[in-house]
Amino acid sequence: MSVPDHDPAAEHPALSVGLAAVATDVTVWILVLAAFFDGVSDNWVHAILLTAVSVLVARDAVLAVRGVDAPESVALLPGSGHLTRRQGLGLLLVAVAYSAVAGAWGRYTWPDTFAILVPGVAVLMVGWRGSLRPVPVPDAPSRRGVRTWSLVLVALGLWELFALLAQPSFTVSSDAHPTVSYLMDPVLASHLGRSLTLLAWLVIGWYVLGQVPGRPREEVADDVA
Amino acid sequence: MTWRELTILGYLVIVGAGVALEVVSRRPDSKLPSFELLLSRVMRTRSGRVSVLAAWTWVGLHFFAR
Repeated sequence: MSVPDHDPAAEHPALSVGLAAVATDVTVWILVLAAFFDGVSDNWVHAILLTAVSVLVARDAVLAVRGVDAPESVALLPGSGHLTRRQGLGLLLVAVAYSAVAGAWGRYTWPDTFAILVPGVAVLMVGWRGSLRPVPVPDAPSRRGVRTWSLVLVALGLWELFALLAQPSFTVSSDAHPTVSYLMDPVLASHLGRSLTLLAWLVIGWYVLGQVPGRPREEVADDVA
Repeated sequence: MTWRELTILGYLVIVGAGVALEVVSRRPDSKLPSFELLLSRVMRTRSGRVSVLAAWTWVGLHFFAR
C-alpha cells in the first residue's frame, strides 16, 4: 500500500508519535472536553483557561515521548517553607481583606472575574514551576485505596450530573433537582456569603498548593553547584 | 420524601462517605490512604499538579466569574 504524498505522519514520524501521546493522555482529554462544554455554554473565560492548561499539558506529553521530562519540582519558599505565626496571620488578613472587597462586587461581573483570575493564575504559575514548600513524594497508595476514593469522587460527579440532566435544560435550574451551584445561589446572593465563599476558596487553594511535592531549593542548588 | 430532599440527601451521603473515609485513613493502623496523600501523589507530576490547580481555579470561576 502506497503512502499518500501529503501524509504528514509519514513525512514526520515524530509528529505521529507526538499526536499519539496527546491523543492517549486522559488529562488532556478531560481538559479539552471541559473547555469545549464551557465554550458552548458561553463561558469563554473558563474555556480559554482550560484550553491554555490543556495545551501546556499536551506539550509536556509530547516532550515526554521525545525523552524530555518536565523539570523537577522545586520549592518556591526557602527552608522548610512554613510561614511564621506572624507571616501566616498577615497572609490570612490579606485573604480576608481580598475576600471582603471582591465579595462586594456582584457575581459574573468583570471585577469579580479578575478577582478569581489573579490568584488562580498565580497559583497555576507556581504549580507549573514546582511546589510552594519542600514536600516528599508520597509512596504509591494501594490500588484498593485508590479505588475506594475514586468511588466517592465518581459518585459525587454522577450525582451532580444526574441533577444537571434532570433540569428542564442546561441553562434553567430545577428546584426539585438542585445542583451544587443551585444550592449555593442563596449563599452567594449576599456580600457576606460571597466573601466567606471566596475566603474558603482561597484557603483551599493555599492548602492544595501546600500539598504539591517538591525538593528543597537549597538541595537543588547544591546539586547544580 | 420529595425529589429535592432526595437529591440533597444524596449529596450529604456522598460527602459523609468522604468524611468517613478520611477519618478511617487517619487511624494509625489504616491501610487506606488519606485524601491529602492521594492529592499529593497525583500532583507529583507537572501535568497532575497543573490539572488539580486548574480544577481549583475553575471552581472559583464557575461560582463567580463571567
